Amino acid sequence: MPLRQDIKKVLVIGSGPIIIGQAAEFDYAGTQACRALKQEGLQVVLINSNPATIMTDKAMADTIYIEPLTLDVVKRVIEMEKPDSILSTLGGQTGLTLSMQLAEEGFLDAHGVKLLGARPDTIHKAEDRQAFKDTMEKIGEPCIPSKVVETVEDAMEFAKVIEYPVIIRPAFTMGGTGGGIAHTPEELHEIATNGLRLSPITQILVEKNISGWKEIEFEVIRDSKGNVITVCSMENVDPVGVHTGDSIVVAPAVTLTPPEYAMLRTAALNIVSELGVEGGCNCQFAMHPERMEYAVIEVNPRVSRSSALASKATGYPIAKVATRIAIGYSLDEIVNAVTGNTFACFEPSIDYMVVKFPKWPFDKFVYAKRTLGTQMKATGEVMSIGTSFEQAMMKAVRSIELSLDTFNLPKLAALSDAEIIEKLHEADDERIFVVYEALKRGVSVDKIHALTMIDEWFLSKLCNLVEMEKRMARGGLTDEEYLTAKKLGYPDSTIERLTGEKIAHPRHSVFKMVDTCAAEFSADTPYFYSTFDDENEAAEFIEQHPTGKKKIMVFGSGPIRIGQGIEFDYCCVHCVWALKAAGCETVLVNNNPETVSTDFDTGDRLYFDPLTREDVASIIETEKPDGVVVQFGGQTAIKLTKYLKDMGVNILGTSPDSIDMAEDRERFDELLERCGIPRPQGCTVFTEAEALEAAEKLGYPVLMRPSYVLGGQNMIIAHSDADIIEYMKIITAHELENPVLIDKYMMGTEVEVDAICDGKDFLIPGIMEHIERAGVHSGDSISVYPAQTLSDKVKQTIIDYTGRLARELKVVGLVNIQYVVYRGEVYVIEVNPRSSRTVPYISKVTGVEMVDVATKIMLGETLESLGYRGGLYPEAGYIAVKVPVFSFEKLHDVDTHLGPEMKSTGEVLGIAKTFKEALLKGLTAAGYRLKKQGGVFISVRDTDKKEIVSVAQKFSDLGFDIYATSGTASLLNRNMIATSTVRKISEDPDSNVLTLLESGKIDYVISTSAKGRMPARDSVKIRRKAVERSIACLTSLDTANALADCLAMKETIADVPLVDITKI
Amino acid sequence: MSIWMEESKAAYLLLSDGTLFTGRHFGAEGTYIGEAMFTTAMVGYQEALTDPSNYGSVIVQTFPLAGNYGVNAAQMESSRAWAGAFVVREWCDAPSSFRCEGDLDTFLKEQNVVGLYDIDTRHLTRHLRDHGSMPAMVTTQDVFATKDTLLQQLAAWKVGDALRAVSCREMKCMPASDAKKVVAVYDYGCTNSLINRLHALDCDVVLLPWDTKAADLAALSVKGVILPHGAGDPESYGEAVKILKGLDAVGVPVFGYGLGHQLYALAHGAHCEKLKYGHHGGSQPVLDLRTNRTYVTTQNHSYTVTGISPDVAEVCFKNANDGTCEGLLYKNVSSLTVEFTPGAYGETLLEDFVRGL
Repeated sequence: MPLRQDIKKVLVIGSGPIIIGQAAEFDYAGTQACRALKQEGLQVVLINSNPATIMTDKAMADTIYIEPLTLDVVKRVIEMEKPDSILSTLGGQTGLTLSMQLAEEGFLDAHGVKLLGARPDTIHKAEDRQAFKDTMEKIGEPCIPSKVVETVEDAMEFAKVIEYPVIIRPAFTMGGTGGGIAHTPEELHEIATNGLRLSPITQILVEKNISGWKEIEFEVIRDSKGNVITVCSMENVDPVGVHTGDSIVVAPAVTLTPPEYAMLRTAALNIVSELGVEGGCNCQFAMHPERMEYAVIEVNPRVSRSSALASKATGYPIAKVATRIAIGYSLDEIVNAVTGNTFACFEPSIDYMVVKFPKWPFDKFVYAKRTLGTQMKATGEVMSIGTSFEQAMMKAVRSIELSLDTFNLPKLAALSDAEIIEKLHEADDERIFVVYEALKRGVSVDKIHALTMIDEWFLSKLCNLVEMEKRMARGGLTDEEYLTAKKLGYPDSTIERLTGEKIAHPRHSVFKMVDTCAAEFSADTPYFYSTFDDENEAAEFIEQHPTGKKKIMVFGSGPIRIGQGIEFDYCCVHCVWALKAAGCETVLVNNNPETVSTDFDTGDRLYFDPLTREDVASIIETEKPDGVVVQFGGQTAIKLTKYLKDMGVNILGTSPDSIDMAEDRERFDELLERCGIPRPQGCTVFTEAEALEAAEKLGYPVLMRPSYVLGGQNMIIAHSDADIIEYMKIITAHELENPVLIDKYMMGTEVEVDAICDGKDFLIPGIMEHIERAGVHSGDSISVYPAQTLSDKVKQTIIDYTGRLARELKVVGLVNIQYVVYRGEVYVIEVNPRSSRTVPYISKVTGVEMVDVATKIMLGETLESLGYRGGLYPEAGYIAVKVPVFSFEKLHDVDTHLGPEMKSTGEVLGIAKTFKEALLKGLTAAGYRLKKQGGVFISVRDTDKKEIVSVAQKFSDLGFDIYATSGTASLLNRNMIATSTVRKISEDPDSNVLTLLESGKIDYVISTSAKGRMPARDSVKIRRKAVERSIACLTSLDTANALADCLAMKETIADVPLVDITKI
Repeated sequence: MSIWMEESKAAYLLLSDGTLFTGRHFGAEGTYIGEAMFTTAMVGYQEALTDPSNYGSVIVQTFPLAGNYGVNAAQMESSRAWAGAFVVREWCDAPSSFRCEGDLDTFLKEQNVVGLYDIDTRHLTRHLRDHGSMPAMVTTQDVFATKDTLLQQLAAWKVGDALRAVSCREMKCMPASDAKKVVAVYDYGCTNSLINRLHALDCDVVLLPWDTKAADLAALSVKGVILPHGAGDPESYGEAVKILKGLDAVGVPVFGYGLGHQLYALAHGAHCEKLKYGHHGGSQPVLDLRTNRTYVTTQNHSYTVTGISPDVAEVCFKNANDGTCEGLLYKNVSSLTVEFTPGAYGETLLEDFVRGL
């Protein structure tokens, strides 16, 4: 069937802020969807609260609302825009749940809106635990023995029947939030209580534990005619028990015999047909490792993280095809965009191995519980492609940004054999390294399999790497052995390190195509991966497709992690678009399967490979680009600068020397001196003794961080010698290549500027001011554009300093500068000669397409030639408030106290005519429930006591009941604010802060502490309890103050007009 | 496969156009000449090797890994391997599966299949895609000194009479446990999975030598006849076609697939054309023109049927990619023949045929 004639205007719901379990993959899916709809000539209305996305770009839709993704707001959009249809399956769980609520309430029917993609009954059958079980039973698909319960008592009762351990899965939560495995009734009680609370319908599934079975996934696509295909099978290296988002996954499945494969494939097709999905669907199975028995784990009737992976692993654009299906097309009418001459109704064949490796935030959250289970903890992932499993694994490990190039984790070397074997019992983020260490020490494959249930096949393959490394250690590699090492995935630098010898005849890699069909048909729009073989298809392809254009290569930003998120993908993609528009041939290099940048038709060519020196060198050798761009790919790409320069590659934009000048502390100091710009006093140290001495000189508090960081990794404010000692212990656990920086900490207003410079002139699209004073990482601060409290003099100083720095650094492109305004004086904190987190949102709000302009400048234009006057760009008519979003409920034991180390995973934006309205929108979008009555619990450190009084007064005036621990309480009572005193945890086990938080009386917690991080501290426990009970917890008085002002507003979100950002 | 490839001998693949690939040897030693064809299936190497329709083949697997799950008796499509050589990028010497009964290398040795690994199989596949499948030699002997002679040998090579080679010599009864009807199968290269499926449909199976005369078939009073897939060039099987011409007179409905489909069509006045590189693998989309549904089918053949008279049969399936004929519905008796192996998801052609008997 062709395009449905009754569809003219479609509402697309995005997935909102990036959180663990719902990340960039939905920007990829949503962007594909919007483009597919627009290609059909349909009008697209988009709502998404996430400003860092590509899908919220003006080019993507006709009308765009960056507004809170609440039911009421979506309803208002529907009433205003009157779309005839709504696409429910491309916006993750958020989009699906909202669509379902709208349908169930009858709102869609009442407004004549059709639900595309998945019918309510399909969603219900797949998502409601009982309905799902009934459906599976009906078609004879085996499920795991389980029961849906709504009370803890029923959960306990059923667990007795099926025997411990049991798994708890809350209904309608993302990424398995609130789930877990219970081995005892006590554990069950805790997990069930938590799960019931987190489930929006107070429902959990108690299920027999089948941990250790193989976990197999199928991605399926079905159209309205009933045509149905599987796009890809995937096998989790980590068996059932570890969330698939936290598992190392390979595609295709490799340990299934044809009957097992056929059995699961048929099951997947049966399920999708029965559910009546029209679009993409993910089916997860558990396969018994020793017999022909399987069980259906879960089904997602929408595009997902797995479908993004399957798309990139095969070249089959699932989201695009799913969108076409939703608007009426059938699979046999949709052309396969990669081959260009076959149709989408086929099952891709692949002739390589794909590995997906998760990226966890534990390098940031040193005290977080690292155990992996049914609740996802990874923030992102990388994908690698190789002609062997070993090669793909080796590529993955060097892509994941742990400073590793093999599976040898240095810290494991110190453990005894017994400790290593003991550690094999734990499924955590380091398990694959522990397995490798065990293999190295001669622990048998059988024994490791028995302990981990990782299939022997994977373990045997890892043995090949162990064997290779043993051979290398003996030195004297023959050319043939060297080639074997290359085929197994070892970079030259690693081989030289392991053998201790120079390589006699180094080789460059060749490139093979990803073409969906294992070379059966010729391909139009292929992408490439490296391997060691005889034929270089990329070279051949380039030769056969000469364009005569200038060729520019853009490096992506790798896996999504805290501090380097989707914003950088936005910048890379925009850079590519700008280059294309300027008539260049573009080549993208990236390793993140979730992103738009790794969509095969974003650039002219895509290389899906690690962003490390040697990998990049091989690509450059084959492509011979006229220039490369590093400033949009975050620190991942910036890190390559010096190497590329040494290779003689032409780096567009700001020179490598200037980049170094901004990052090298001594050179940076000289630079500031030359410019006559002050910065907080500081110095560099290598040892604990030096650090203590420096702090003594500067005076506490001091700010400590390693040089060359992004996202404030391992950054703290030290208030005492003890803090410094603790910090230096952690930081020196890793190799200390770069020194530690110690600065005087100034508690002023933090201001941030993104500027575009052409080497001579500069343009500041906007000045942003943070609500939280300096000390809270800029990524975790509520950021307001335009700045609200700065005097004209301060603004002028900032403009002046920005200009001086940009000129002195000869910035060509983007630069991000952070300032602190302390007692009326402006100090520079940091200069980053690259794109930043705030670029997408400032571009959208001010209308200055920053990346576009910067790219053109890199190609030789000037601000003047592009029609921009220098200095500060006129302020937009709107206030935009960026509010960070955290994933604390997924990460146990992480202190939620905000500080110089970034903790947020995503962000939302509130746009309105006034600051307060924008803040209201921002907070609402970030998930604050903004209750105007109830209780507030306050516990603050001594230094905050002076200021807390006025904040508490505001809450008290609003009618909130105030609770506080003794010190804070007596202070407030003395200041005539009626406050109930709450006992500390140690004072009374039955009636204390924690029991108060559990009682439901508390709606807000204000908690600050001088010391934090250690999970055992009371203040950390209080904040964790708040997370568990979903109580808003404010760890900065500035945030608390802003929130109180917001609550005092008479208006509610319903009174604030919605803003179509395409009309700004 | 040990990662120490230098521990295994060099082996070669020489194509009839002179292209030479040098890799390493596994499986049986020696020299084998056959038709080089690639398969894009990602599982099923044992089935492919033992499928009689691969008689005379040098199988090139595009998926880089083989032998992951080993081999087992239950996955044999017939009693032996029919392909004579197997080419893959990498084979696995530590197979992992609870069903595993042996490794691929040992199996190839037992079955006398010459193995070649560690070559750029994608390069080879693209070569075969662009130039068509062609005769090839896989050998562990030196090919450089005698290359010209070997090329002459390759030029002269013909697959030969595959039917005679793979077919049973005598009629064989294969009873089901709870039979309700009897069907006959002409053994053009019958697979165990076909027999198992017929048994599952409660049919006793009579396996007939390929040259069983129509009159002899009539005497068996079977309810239906299956003409399965097999190996070789359909146009070279004049005798088999002649026999099939007599089948209509018996009045028994026929279900054919692959070679069976081609021969039956030839018996009804159609022609067979060789496709450039055939349809091999598990992902050929086939459109059912009657229902407008598309099925993803498994195919393994190099020919397509053309020129059937619309008075004799109507084309009821076509390939969704290249538009070639994929199935014919005959008008005289209710016979249905298709190019693909029946049993794609959502399609129950064989089952419907048998149930309708």
